[in-house]
Amino acid sequence: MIIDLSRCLGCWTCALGCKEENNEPIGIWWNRILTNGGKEIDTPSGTYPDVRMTYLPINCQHCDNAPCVKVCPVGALQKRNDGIVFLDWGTCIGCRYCLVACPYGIPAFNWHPPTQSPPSSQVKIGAPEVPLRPVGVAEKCTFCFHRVDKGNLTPACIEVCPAGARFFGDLDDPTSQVSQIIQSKPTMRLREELGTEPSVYYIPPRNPLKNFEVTQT
Amino acid sequence: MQNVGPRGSGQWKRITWDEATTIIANKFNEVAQKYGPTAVYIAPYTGSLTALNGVIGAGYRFASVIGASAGDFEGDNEGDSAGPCGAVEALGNFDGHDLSDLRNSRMIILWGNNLAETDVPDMRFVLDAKEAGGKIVYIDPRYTSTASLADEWISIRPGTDGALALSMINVIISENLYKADYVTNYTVGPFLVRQDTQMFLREKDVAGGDSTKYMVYDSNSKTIVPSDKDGIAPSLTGSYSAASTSCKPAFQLLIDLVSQYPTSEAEKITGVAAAEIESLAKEFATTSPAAIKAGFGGISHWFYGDLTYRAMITLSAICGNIGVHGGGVTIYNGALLDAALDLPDWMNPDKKTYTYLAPILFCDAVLNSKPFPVKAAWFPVDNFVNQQADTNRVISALKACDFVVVSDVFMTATAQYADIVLPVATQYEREDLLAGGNYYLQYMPKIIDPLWETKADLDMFAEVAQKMGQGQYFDKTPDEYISLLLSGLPSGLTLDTLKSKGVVALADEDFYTSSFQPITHPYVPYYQQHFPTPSGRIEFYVESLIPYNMPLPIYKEPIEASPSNALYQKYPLVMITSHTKFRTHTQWNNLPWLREIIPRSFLEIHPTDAQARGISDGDTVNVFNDRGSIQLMARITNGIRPGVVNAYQGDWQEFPTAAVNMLTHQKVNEAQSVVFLFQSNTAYYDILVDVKKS
Repeated sequence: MIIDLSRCLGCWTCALGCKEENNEPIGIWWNRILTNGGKEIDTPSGTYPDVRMTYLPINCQHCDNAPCVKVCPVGALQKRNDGIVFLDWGTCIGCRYCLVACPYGIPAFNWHPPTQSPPSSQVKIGAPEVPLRPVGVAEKCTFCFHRVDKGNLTPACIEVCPAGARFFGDLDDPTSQVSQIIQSKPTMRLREELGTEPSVYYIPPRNPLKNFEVTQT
Repeated sequence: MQNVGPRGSGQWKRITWDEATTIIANKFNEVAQKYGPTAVYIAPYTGSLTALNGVIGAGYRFASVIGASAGDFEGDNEGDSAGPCGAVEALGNFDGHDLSDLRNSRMIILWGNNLAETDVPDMRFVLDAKEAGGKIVYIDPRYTSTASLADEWISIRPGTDGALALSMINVIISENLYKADYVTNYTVGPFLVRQDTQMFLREKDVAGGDSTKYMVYDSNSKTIVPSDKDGIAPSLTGSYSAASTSCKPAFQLLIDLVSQYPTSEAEKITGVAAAEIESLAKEFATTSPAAIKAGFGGISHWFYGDLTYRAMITLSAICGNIGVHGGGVTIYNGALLDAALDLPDWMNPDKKTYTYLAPILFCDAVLNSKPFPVKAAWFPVDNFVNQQADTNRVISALKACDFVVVSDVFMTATAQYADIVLPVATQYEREDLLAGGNYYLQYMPKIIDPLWETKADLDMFAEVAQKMGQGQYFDKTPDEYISLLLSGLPSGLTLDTLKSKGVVALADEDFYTSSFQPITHPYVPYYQQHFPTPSGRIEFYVESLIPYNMPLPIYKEPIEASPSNALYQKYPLVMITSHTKFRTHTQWNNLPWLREIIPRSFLEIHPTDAQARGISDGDTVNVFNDRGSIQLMARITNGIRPGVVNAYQGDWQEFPTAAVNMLTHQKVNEAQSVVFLFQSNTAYYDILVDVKKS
């Protein structure tokens, strides 16, 4: 996956597309838009009028060397052959080691029975292939493998992005769009120094902030 | 539901559709008999841009057949009309570029237009232009998502954009960077203006007879001649004698005007540094093509927004940017769509017509019987109480009405003040034609039948019309009405074709008559340099505005939000109420997913202004002026200009606590009524407030 921060509007369409596709309960976002700027969402850093702000959409980085897979004591987290980090909710025992291990703060934990809006008894939200997660398990972005496995679909966040800022494909295929973007544009990965080898690449913003720290929302 | 207590008391009683429509028909008849039919007011708004049930929908057809008053057609006078009003004056209509044309721009000024948040799908065209090497300038007192993507952010004192534009024109003319040929051939620049009457000098003034030809000074023959004479060299400058008065070319009058705004003077007014104004002006004049994309809010929500917009058009015109790909001044890119549809037969059957009343005049009509009495109202697709300015006055007016109906999907702030609330089916539960905001028509099929006891707006208007003896105007199916609307299209688009394709781009012939062919793609208005103005040219000098002393796009200080206003001593903060990406006006405000991201309405305030009032981030603050007081959470940010505060408009989940329109006013700008169907804009941003910790 490639996310072009020089085109990201911070509009949250990817996050909401994800939330709908995967029926994420109230309080849980598999995909969020962090503000790289001031203390609050959508505020810049600096002193008026010398201020700056960029956005950082963040979801599971699907690391090749994934700390969450290593620490999972029951093998509920597995690296698939295609690179997707898969979390099996049936096997997950809710130990939350993965929440601690992930350097990107990605896995969320269902402390309570999930609250759906609208209530799931009234309207079925999301793809039928995505089961509701029970209380007491971790959950996170799946790269929409239920769509990707069909062959001709990309994850929901890619499809809904109105700014043309998100790309998805096979990095092992040198002719793919994502391979070509990585060859032609500078890209970076988050906290590369940790050796996690993320599968999510970012094209940096045009005017990046010196201090690339992000606001939690 | 029927309110059985005092209006606004929330004492609801469940009644049947038959009971409700009978009550409405009887009440409307009663009011019409007592005060005349226009005392019934129907106000479909932009809650839905559809043709059958929305803003150009059944409400107007209903108002026409019962002879009621109605407004607001396409939101033209609900805060959005000042810019379009100025465009009509200067260019003849308020047509805009297809926004994909921004890709062709070498420079884009997003002027008071937070495009990344308020027009999310179109921002990609700006980013494409930027990736192709174009420069993006963003003018706004706030640093927003759009600012974060622009090459340059210019923070301006709110409401002074007109002075900035005039100063830029001054730089461009003084540096001789304007396109003199274009000004001579396509604007009123060379036309002589009489000093005595301020009117254009006409041939009859000089030669007698009845020729109304515009006159120019020919620098070849050194005589005053009709502008259409062959082989002349019209002068753009100077002063000449004719018809016993002195006359100047309109361009000379423009020069006289803008020379009052050297960059040093404009810096004092706008707060933008003189050097910045100069470089912006030079870059705009020397980069071609250069586009100005203006916001509805940033420009239109000011009392003199029409003057500002005319100044911006003048700036673009003298640089030859009007009617070219990648150029233009665009506020709205779908204005002509309605003209293409057969709206008269839909909205005015048998030539019956409603009486137009702008919503800003509604309260005056109810409370003061001006311009005529209104005693009953029906608000469909419209959260009027939350969105019209001066909420307390709106509530007084609604309480003073004899009878109020609200039809809505939700129990809105407005519905709380109704006698009868009618539950409306959602857009998935009725058939419609989407026609607004761009050059595409979209068929909206009915996905499921209306849930519970809801009905489409069209069906409820039909029921009431039938009980008022006008049922013959509502006896067709939605399909038949959509076909009627499409019958106005010269391309002959049929409902079957539209249904099979879902979305159809309008054909070239649907836009214009043969004289305006061919159309260029992406669509660019005035591509043939034809302007539907009185002179057929771009009019930066407008005769019809002479009575208001505004024939030129002069700069006027904001009517309220100005340090020159005595009220400024009491309320020293300018408050703007901008749009958020997390809702569309009031819509989506009640969605739990979005409220997870923005749980509470907040007030953006600069650290200096907060500190002076002992306000910390997250405090609850009172925001107040003489009209009202609201409570918001303080968000201290360096992303807003000192002296300016901002809160997002449209929050009705926290009504009336966070209702920003408690603070806005209904001051009417009569100069805007010279344009047909424009009465006055609502100047939402042109207000002063103060803030204190709760």
